[in-house]
Amino acid sequence: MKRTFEPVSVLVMLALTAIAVGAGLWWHQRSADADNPYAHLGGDFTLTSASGPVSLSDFQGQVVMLYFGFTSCPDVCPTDLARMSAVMSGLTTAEAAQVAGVFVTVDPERDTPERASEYARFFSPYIIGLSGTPQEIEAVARQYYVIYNRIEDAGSALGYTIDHTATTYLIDARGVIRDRLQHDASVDEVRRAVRNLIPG
Amino acid sequence: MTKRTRISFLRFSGAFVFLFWASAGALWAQAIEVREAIVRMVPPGQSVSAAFMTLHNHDSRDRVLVSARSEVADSVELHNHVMQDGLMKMRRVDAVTLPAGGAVSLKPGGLHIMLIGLRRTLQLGQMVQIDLYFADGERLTLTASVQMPGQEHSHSSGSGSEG
Repeated sequence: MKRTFEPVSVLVMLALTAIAVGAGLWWHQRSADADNPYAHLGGDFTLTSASGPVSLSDFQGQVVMLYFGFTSCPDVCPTDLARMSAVMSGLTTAEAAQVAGVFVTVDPERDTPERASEYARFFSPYIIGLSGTPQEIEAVARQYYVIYNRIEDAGSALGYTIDHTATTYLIDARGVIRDRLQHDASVDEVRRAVRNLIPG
Repeated sequence: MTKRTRISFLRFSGAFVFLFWASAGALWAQAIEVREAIVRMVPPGQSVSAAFMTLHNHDSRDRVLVSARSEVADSVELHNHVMQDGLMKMRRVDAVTLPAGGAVSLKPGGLHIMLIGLRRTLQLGQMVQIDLYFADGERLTLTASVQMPGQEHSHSSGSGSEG
């Protein structure tokens, strides 16, 4: 006797399978995020570049090195951006195509989008500089737990300086923060961490 | 004493005094040695830069650096970085002590000479003159070469000595 399956049973089985697989994947993703200590940080944002609005989601598919600083910073920011540039120049052409650098100013009063852009470009054509209104910058800084404090100093020709967390955030191709590197990390350490996140 | 003897004696004394003064001066000029002085290259339009170097104090007493000037900037200040509560804090300092027989390094992330209000665009490899002033009134002139950030250990850098 030939055994056949009823269409309804087949459909039910397929549906159950889809649900099971879907639920499994969702669960896996949740636990994967739970393993990521930075899962609660970050997220998409939109700020202003010299050529218009730029969102982090514009970089989907690329690994992003994200740095918050200001252009009047004579030491820490140039060191960290020079490091970002050195990381990029040590990648293969194929790798470099999948990596981008983003510099966000925490001094929007002095750093216009043009200035942030010019500053970033000085270090590498692959780093984009962004600015915004003080409120916009504050909102993004909060998302990324970036602390910055303006310190008035009437005794210095600078007028004011900005204390800030000198952290380079590594964001994967899906837009999720996966690593945070401090000021003292070497070029090799940063590059290794970036390579780790390059898809494929 | 004959006239000839007197003239010889005077010449000899003169030479002696001159030699003494010259060697004393030479020894003094070597008291503070500047090594690997560089000025950071900045993007055009940027008005602030930093100078780094190592200052070796060969003197038998401490020397205190209190201020600086440069033809390349409107204001020159001494600054230091302190990592506190996870924040990089840059603060102006009034003085930097060079211990007798010791050395102090002005390097990225630490002490540096800040050049505020650059008067011209810096060019890579260009030499910039900086004058350092000490608490005892002495002045030291040095030349620093302009280098890209991240290249602080390049071989072609400036030097200086007291004068």
